[in-house]
Amino acid sequence: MNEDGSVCNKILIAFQDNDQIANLKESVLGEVFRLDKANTNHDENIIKGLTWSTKYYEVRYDLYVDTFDDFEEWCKDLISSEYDDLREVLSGIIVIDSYTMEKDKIDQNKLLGQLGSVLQDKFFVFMNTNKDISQDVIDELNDDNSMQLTSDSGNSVEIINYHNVSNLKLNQYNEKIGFERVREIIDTCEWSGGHRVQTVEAKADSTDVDLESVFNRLKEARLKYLEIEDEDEREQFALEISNEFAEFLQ
Amino acid sequence: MTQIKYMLLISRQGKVRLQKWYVSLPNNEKTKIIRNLTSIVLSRKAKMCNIVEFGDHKVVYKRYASLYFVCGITQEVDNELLTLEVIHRFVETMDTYFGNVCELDIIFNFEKAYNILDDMLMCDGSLAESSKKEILNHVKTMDTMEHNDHLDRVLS
Repeated sequence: MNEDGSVCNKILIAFQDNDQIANLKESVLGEVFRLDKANTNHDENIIKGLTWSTKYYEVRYDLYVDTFDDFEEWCKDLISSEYDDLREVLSGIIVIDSYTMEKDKIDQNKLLGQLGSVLQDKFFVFMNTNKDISQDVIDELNDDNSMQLTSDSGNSVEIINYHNVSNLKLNQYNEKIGFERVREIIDTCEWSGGHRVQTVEAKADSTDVDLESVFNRLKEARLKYLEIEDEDEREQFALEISNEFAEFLQ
Repeated sequence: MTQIKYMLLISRQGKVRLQKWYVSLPNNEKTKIIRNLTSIVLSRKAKMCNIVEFGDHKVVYKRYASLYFVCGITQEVDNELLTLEVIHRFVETMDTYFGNVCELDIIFNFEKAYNILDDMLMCDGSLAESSKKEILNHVKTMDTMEHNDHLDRVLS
């Protein structure tokens, strides 16, 4: 909860601690969260007071940045009851690590499944930094039943490639990939609080606005405006009318 | 002839974004169908068949980007391929209405998506209107009436 009483959401992002971490941090924080290195200290562990904006809403959130040496250990810590409070306040988790297709794959899948199962109604993204895994393999992994371990709770991990080797913008399902997909997942996650921004409503193509009716209504509005004595009230009325007409004419 | 039993829209994250039931079922039965279908449909791979036998009926689904459109159909009456066309027409109509529709558009304008669906399918699940142009005209008329109503409210 913020000082003004509004709810502040939290996203946890965890990087594997290696010599690439500075580059990874910069690109993920820049591409996904639009955090410019010039304006934000990427070395901070908690970046507060950020705003996530879409064409429909704006919401405030804090970004928790973490690193790990051993994913298994980090995962087990986060699953443990000691971290119940932290998990409770999170809107979602993004893990940036290399996905392994070799013998320890099952353990990695198992860990992802375990973590996903304790993240009810929160998004969970695993960003794979392993260049050898193609987009088609990632799609298959995501389709694979073993990755949908937590579908009962309406939650599952989604693996997304960090590197866009093929330079594609969409996968075989016409779904966004890479950073854009991470943004899409965050866009549609369940935030707390937030407010809707004034939007231009979607509307079917049409040019046949009844102008006569618009003018009649304008006349009517002007007469009513002139009748209002209180200046503030008049201004308020004028503002409401202009908004309504703008929407009507779009 | 179509007699769709239900139409569900499920996201890749397993969230139900739209649900329309054309048969009367108790709530717990609906929840069970949604839960089972979510795990069945999400786990199917790209090259698998889009028609699945499910309990006493068939399910036809199609994936568009990160959204799965799932229809339960009456086996004796419905044609599976026609159902796929109904789904596609619904998606095309939403795409034209919203202009490259995405999940967020549906979340924040779900009533418009339901309006389009209601124009296409009658309350018994049969096809009422197949023309995209006609459906968009109807929805546009509803939008105009809604805006007029807002204006009237401000002016009154």
